[in-house]
Amino acid sequence: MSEENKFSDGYRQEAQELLVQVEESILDIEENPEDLEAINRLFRAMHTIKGSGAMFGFDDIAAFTHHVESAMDKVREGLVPITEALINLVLSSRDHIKRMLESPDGIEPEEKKNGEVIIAALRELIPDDLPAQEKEPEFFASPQPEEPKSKQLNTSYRIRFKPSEDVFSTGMDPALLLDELAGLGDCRISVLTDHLPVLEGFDPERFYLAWDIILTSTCGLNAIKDVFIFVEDDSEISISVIQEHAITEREEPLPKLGDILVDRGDISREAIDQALGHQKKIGEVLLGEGAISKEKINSALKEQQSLRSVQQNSVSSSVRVPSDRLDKLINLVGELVITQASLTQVSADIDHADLAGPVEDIQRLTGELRDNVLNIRMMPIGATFTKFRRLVRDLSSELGKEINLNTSGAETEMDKTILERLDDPLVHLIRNSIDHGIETAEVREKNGNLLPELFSFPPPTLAPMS
Amino acid sequence: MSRLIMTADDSSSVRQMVSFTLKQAGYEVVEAVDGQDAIDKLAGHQIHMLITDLNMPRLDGIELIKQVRAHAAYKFIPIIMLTTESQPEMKAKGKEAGATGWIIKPFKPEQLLGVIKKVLR
Repeated sequence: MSEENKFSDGYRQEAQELLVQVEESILDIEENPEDLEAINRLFRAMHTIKGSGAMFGFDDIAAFTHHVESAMDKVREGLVPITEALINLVLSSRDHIKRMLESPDGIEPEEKKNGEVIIAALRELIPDDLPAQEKEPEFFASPQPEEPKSKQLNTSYRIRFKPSEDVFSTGMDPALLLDELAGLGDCRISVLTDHLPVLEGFDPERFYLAWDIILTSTCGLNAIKDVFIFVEDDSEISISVIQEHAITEREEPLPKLGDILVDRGDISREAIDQALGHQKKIGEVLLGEGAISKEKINSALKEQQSLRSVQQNSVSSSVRVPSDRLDKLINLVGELVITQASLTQVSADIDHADLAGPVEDIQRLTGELRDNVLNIRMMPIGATFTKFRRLVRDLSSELGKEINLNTSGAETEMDKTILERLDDPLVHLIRNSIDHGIETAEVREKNGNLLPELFSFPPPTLAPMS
Repeated sequence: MSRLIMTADDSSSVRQMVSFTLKQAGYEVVEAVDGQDAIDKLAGHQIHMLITDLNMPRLDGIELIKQVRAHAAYKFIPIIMLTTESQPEMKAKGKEAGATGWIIKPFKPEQLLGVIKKVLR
């Protein structure tokens, strides 16, 4: 017997026993409506029939029993009185559940109707009860819709995780969450000990550490958030996208250490500018001035190294090909397609059995070749976004305007020529928008405006130029 | 050394399924039929983790969690609530009592194992 059948049989047996308990309990309640123990017993029986039913595939029983469970929940809360009508309904429900249990192939339509009548009567007695099918079962995993895997770019995230000081008392070992993150992709972890007390104040049952984590993964944001689901209410957690890594011919400029530290909020732009004036390595200067801890510097350096490593991998897995060679290839494939079409026509006219097969193969292969060649020129638009982020950031700083740049659809592909031609106009648009379309922070505050969202780009895939 | 997990649930079929899933994954299991049975059995076992239903006779899950947490040996073990109760107030009560996390029924065996991996070394 398979394990599944064993569980189902186990459930049937348990449910039958519980229905005996239901009958006994409701009859006890009929004799003594104040019998709280019997009411609780009845509720628990229904609760178990419902919950275990859903576990083992008895969805109809679970959906039906939900209504009776809800009714008994309200009875035990004192919101609904015990009446003869309710007692009769519970007994009818019990009989109905029994019939469902004894009909592995499903109950007759007439019986189904009978069940609906019972539910309607229960709803009349308890008007705010919701029908079971409107409440979807909640699963632990993925409370948010999962991002489609095929669209997920390799993305670098910056995660700062500071568990609460009493995290151990919840039975949670934060290090296990780091292991879980490491399973999602390339993970570089820096520990932060800023909050570690001196020895005299150290309590071994309390937790004082925090971590900066650079995770590069295709898993998507929801998978990362799920890691922290048990600790999110009590911990300080921030997750931000550093970069989406499209396959690109161009090496994108890496963020500088000072920029990373400012982005994280670990230091101000002014402190960076001041330190740069000393013409030493920015990290050394900041350390020398005591403006920041060594751990935070090392953590930011790790982020830089991580991005460098991902970029090297992205660039080296592609091959540079001169555009004119691609154009020549596309033209040749175009002529091949025309010739193949003529060949197919001739084969159809001749109608020779030995010729038909190979001609069909050539047709299929030519089609695949054509599709692949046209796709060679398709590039994800995400590579352009990185340049825009830098542009917005620099202009924002230069003009003293606070700007949020939100992009989406980085994985959208376009023909390379279109992408290159879009570059300048988009830069022009962004510059003009920032220069003339967005006020300074003071004016915005005076007008009670929030930070503006500048750029949103979720375009559909565009067909290549033929 | 194999980890010993206690599962407390008044439903025999759920205990059977949880027990089977855990044993298949290499854990040892001790079953309790309700909260009081769980407390009684703690005396004879050294558990590494507790998985408990919330609605149980004699001693419910919330009380069980509180009593386990009050036990010096179990102050820091992971405790997972296994329940159909999806209302936030029940989860909040459980967390206040000292639960580490929760799984909402119905759940799949792989979800149970995923949660255990998250909280048990």
